[in-house]
Amino acid sequence: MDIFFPIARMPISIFAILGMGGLVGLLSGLFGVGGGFLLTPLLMWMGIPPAVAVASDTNQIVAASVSGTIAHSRNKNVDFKLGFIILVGSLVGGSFGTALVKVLRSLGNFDFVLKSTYVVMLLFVGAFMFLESINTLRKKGQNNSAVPKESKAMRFMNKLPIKIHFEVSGIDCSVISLFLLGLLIGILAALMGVGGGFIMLPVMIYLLGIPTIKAVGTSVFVIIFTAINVTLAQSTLNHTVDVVLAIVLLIGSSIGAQFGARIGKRLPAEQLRVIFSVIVLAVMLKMFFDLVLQPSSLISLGGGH
Amino acid sequence: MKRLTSIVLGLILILSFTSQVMADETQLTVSPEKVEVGLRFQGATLNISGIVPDDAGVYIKVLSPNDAILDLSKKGKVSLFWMNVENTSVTKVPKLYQILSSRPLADLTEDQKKALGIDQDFSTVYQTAEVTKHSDSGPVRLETSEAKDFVSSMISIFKKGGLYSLNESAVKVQNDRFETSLELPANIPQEECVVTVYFIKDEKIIGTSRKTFNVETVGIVKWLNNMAIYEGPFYGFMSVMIALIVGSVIAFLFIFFDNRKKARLHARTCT
Repeated sequence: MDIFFPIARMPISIFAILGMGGLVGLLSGLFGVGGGFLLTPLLMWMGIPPAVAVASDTNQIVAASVSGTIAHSRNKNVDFKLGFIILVGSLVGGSFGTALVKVLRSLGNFDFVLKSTYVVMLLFVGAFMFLESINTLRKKGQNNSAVPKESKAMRFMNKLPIKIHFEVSGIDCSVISLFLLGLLIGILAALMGVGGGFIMLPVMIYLLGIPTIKAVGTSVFVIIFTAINVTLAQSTLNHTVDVVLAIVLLIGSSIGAQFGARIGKRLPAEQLRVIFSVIVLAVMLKMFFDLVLQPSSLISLGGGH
Repeated sequence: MKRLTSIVLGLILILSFTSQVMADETQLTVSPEKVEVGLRFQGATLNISGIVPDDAGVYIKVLSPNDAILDLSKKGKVSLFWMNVENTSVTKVPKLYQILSSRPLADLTEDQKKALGIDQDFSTVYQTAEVTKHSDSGPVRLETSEAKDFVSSMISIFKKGGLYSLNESAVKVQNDRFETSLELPANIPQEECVVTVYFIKDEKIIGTSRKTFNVETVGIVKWLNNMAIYEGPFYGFMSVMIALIVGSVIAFLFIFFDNRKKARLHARTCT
């Protein structure tokens, strides 16, 4: 059954969109990421204009992350206090990052620097998580701890003042270090035009030492607000949010997020990290090949991530 | 100056009168006159028919106004990587350009093809199109030679979407009547489109006829379109609220079903 999407200005099968939303929601519930990196290209592949795909995708992330947050909070996996401090930092960082983009653009070659940094960062995060999780899985017989051992960065952050105990995450952490991490996430998210889930999850696990499943729940909570912010901006400035498309997507993604959160609860943390790192590496490889292989057509529709 | 103005006005009057007379003579019919775009819109069929004067060839052009805007990016090699090196907007082009005929286009002279805008390359689009490059110092209009590649890519994209097409055997002529049907794609622009019919015999235009049809959004599609364009902040707020409500409702529905399942299991273990 096809329906006509008013802003995308084209008819598409409602079941295809529901299926896509469901898949992305599943990832969102499992890993605490928005899923825009996957859904936007899928929507564009179906013929939806890039600007509409990006904006409507962000709108549905609001629903998927709310649904995911409720599911995770029921399992006591959302650290609202910690998430709120990171959120404040990321909102400040987002504004700073937007201004930084303007400066970098005026210096020229910004896109080149941005894309190569993105690929290197994804490679670093993906490879590090993958190797660490595999090592932990191997050593599981000797050491049953799901939380990675304390790194130099963790030790440095623990030395910063205004320390608070976060009961849900089970960590003691400085408010300043959390704010700074939020700031860093916000800057990177603004620079790279992504929601920040990809950056937030490894930061929470490896730099803050939060157990994986709690990091996923908290990350998905923070994403609600960043997605609301972007949806409002896209509607006001670009008029590209297709609310009908977003509704169909979000019905699929909210249901998918519920299943994701349930599956995530049953999977061991190391396995969850291995799957996540494989997805990060797959996205990195796709981006890398997009960059080095000559495109079939040099001129294409503009917009998108 | 006054004389020139009155001549131009006179010519316009004569031309519009001639066109009206010819439209009446050829009894050009375009149906439907209004295409309604609602939530179940999948495209539409446009029927065009009329009388053929003096056994002439029938050449039909269906155009939307020259107001489409298309953003295009051009990739180039920077160091080892293929990156976007130019972002442009193509404007002053029609989004819908359909050509149908009863005889091959080869029967027309090259000058006629160009003058009437009836050729397989859609060459008139290259003349009207404006390509603007977005740079840090502001928009820069590209020269015709530089713009050519972008216009050509735009035509390919529109052809792929079914908005631009050429069909040389689509018009059927029987006795002294012609008729054809045109499949309008679902992504047709929502504005007044013009159907122009040229009757050509022995490389001479012996008549022209013209009619319009409207493509309009209706119902919820119209309401949402207007809201998105004219009330962006409210539309954004509404979109966010819908997402928050639907996301929460679905989450609580799952909790409700979970609780019911648990209650059933509990009741079973008690009995």
